Amino acid sequence: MKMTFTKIAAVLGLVALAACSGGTEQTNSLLAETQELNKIIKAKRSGPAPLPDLTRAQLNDIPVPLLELKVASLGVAAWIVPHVRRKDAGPGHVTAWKSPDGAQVVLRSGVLIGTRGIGNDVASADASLAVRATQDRKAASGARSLQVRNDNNGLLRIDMQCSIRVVGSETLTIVQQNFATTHMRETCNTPYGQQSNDYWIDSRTGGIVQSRQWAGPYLGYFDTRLLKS
Amino acid sequence: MPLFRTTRFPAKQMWLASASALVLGLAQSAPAQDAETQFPHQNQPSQNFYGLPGLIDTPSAKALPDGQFTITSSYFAGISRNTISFQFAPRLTGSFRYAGIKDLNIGGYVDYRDRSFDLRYQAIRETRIMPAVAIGLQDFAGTGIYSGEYVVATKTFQQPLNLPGTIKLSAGVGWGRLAKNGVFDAARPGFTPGGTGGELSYDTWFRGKASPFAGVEWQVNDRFGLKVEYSADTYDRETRQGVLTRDSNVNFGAEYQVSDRVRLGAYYLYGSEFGINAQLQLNPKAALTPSRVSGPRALVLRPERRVNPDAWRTDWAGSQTAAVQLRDIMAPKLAEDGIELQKMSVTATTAELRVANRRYSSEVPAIGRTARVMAEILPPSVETFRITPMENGLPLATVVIRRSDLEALEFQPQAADRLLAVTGINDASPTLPDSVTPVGTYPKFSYSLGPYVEPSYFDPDRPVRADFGAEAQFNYRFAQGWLISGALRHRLAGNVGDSARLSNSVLPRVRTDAILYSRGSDTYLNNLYISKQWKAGPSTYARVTAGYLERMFGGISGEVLWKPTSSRLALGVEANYVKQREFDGGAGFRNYSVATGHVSAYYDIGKGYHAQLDVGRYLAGDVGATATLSREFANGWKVGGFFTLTDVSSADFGEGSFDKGIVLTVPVKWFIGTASKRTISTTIRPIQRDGGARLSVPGRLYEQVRKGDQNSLSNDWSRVWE
Repeated sequence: MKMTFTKIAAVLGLVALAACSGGTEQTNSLLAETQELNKIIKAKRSGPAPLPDLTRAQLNDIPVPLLELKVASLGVAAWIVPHVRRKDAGPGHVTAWKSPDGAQVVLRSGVLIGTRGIGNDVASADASLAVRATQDRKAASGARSLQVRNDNNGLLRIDMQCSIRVVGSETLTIVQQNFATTHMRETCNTPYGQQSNDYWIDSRTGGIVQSRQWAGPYLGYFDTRLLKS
Repeated sequence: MPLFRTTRFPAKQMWLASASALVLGLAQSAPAQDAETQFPHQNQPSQNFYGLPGLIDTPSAKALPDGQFTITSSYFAGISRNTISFQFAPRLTGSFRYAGIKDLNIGGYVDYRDRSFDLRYQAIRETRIMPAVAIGLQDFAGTGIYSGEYVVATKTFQQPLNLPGTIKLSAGVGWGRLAKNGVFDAARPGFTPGGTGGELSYDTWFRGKASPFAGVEWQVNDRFGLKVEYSADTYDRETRQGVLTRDSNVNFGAEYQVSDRVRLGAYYLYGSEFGINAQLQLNPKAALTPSRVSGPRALVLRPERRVNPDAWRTDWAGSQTAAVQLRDIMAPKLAEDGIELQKMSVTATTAELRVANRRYSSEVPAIGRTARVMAEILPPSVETFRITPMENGLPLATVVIRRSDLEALEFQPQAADRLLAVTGINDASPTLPDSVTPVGTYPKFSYSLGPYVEPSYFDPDRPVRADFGAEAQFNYRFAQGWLISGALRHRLAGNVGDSARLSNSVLPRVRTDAILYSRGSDTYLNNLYISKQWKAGPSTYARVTAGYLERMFGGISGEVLWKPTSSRLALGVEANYVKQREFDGGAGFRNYSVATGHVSAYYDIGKGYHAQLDVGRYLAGDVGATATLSREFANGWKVGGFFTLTDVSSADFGEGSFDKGIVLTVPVKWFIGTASKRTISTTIRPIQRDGGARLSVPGRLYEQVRKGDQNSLSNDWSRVWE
């Protein structure tokens, strides 16, 4: 039997189209995985759609807090909502925010301590230095650490030496509302060079309303804005 | 306006090509990986025409980054070489090559095709002053057309003499193929075209004439590289047969790094020929798409006892229906996370869940998510969580977690390590007393309809042949550990059966009749069997399987495995009585039957290295042993090699002298990022003969049991909070 490439491709294409599975036992289907691969390829071809403009009136109608998250390295911009909020043995309080597609970002009083469902996630972080300094709005320095998931089911532990100081007072406008803030910058020496985290702390509430934080060598920088608290 | 909007465009661009057995992907501008591979292509040496780090036709002393996997395809003067190399350990590189020489006209072939294995050991690592030094064996066990040995040193200079980029100087001494007229040296037994090959030719290593070789590689910038080398390979046989004319010892080349994983080169060789080389490098540790599993449900905390003492009462446990009610609430929640609840027992203070993971490549995320469901549903008085992953009815290990540890540690620094430190991983008991089983656990039925590819490599007339078609497969589980499974295939196209090279084996033809099986029938029963597996003791597992076990054999198979969860060593015994199936793939048998079986020892060496030794009787009735060494990555990549020596003589075995090959397993998750248990596996043998052939029984115990042992769970533990 003589075969041509097109014939083989056609046969395989037909069979793949017909691929299906079912029954009462859950399994990953080949079709679903092929579709996932297609999605990845398509997503790479199309650019990011920008987040639509918001007005303060629209925000006021939303019954839950809302955080804007941008991750430049992934080209991701999303509005996310609280998923878990709790006080634990560490300083400040922990809020896990989640997006509709299952990604989560965990902040300890506004300071990044974890991500989930993004890929190369931040598994844990020691953020007490930044949490205390931003709460007191006072300069501080010390050791911090970050654990990042690698692609081999393991963790990459990043130890950093950081110092945090007050940059000055700034007024931010977030969706038509002005905030008087204190801008603080944390500078860290890491095995991946010097990285810096910026925090803008609301003078009225003492909470972080805007930040730019380093999430490790894979994910790069996260930009957050608290649209509604 | 939608309330939420997520936009995403993954940073990497992807190019995909699918080959018959391998699916390879390449990504541009991959994000930083771990520290050592943060900027991959700056640390990865370029490849030569033999598919190993080097210049053009000569080697260098560079090693690939640990774990690196490369595919190189080169061509000049009608000579093509396709090589897979793997950095098995930081200093040890292994290669498998398939080469073709057009119009060589020797050994009865017009176009000569051959397979060869190489090994290279980096004896000295490069330091600020010392060069790297490597020792290499080229084609050390084949028929020997490329047989040669070398010692080479390489020194790297960053921006020397104010030049941009990096310069690597290499110089060495070569024997055999790499020496002037070395292949015709009387001190080395010559290459015999058409000989059986396969045996280690250590009696000729580093013997005979030696010649120097040297070269310079200048990586001008991130993209462009230039190479020039002096090669002593005189291509005696090729020039005599008119394959090429050789006018010079000096070769030139220019290379372009297309992406982190792809490099292309063009060359002018031996003063007369143009050549090209395509190099693909990837590292199992750096996934094409980072693993991304949708975030877990929230871990629900218990009310404090002093605030709400009523919630902590234990009298609920006295109720007959409590276990059933809890089961009915938890099972659907677990199912949302791809986890199937199979058995559950609960007391006022302790609960054990036996669960099957249907989604995640590792058992650990399933354990973490089961614990979250338990924390959400179980009454506060239940402090001890026991979670037992199940694999096809076998309880693998019991993970014991204190609920208060879960609650306290979730958002702490080093949360996974700290939880592991207070978690117990024990042998699971064979049965769970006083347990409830969810309604509908059995029977379970699943089916799939999809494509199949059956490749056949290295036919001298056509190196890659394959049959393609559709496969209908089903599994029916009617009680714990029981399985009825079958697969029917229909061939739609293919050319395996077109081969004219029918078996010339003098042994019982237990494997070499593949062509006749392919010709036998377009529709055939690939397998159909019933099996029962169970846990016989705290660390003993057993299996019995009967039916049409594989395409070529049917019969009965029994196996017992001893594997304590905390032990690196496992021991197994397998006994089979099988009969050869008819070529037509129907229900009939031919008149060859054999009792075959093995005693096996498995050892987890650590750092991902695994060894296995099987001693016993093979399908052709020969007696011997198989040794396997493999390296596994926690994300599921696996690369291994094996060889089998039996009491069959090299002459009776035929080409290759003894059975050997490489095994490659790639997880689908590595490509697509989302949770998936599926893997793509292939075994590549230089040649398939009848000696040292093992029965292929579905569902052998060790691989099933091992993914739930203490080592596997601890290695993947960082995923417990994911």
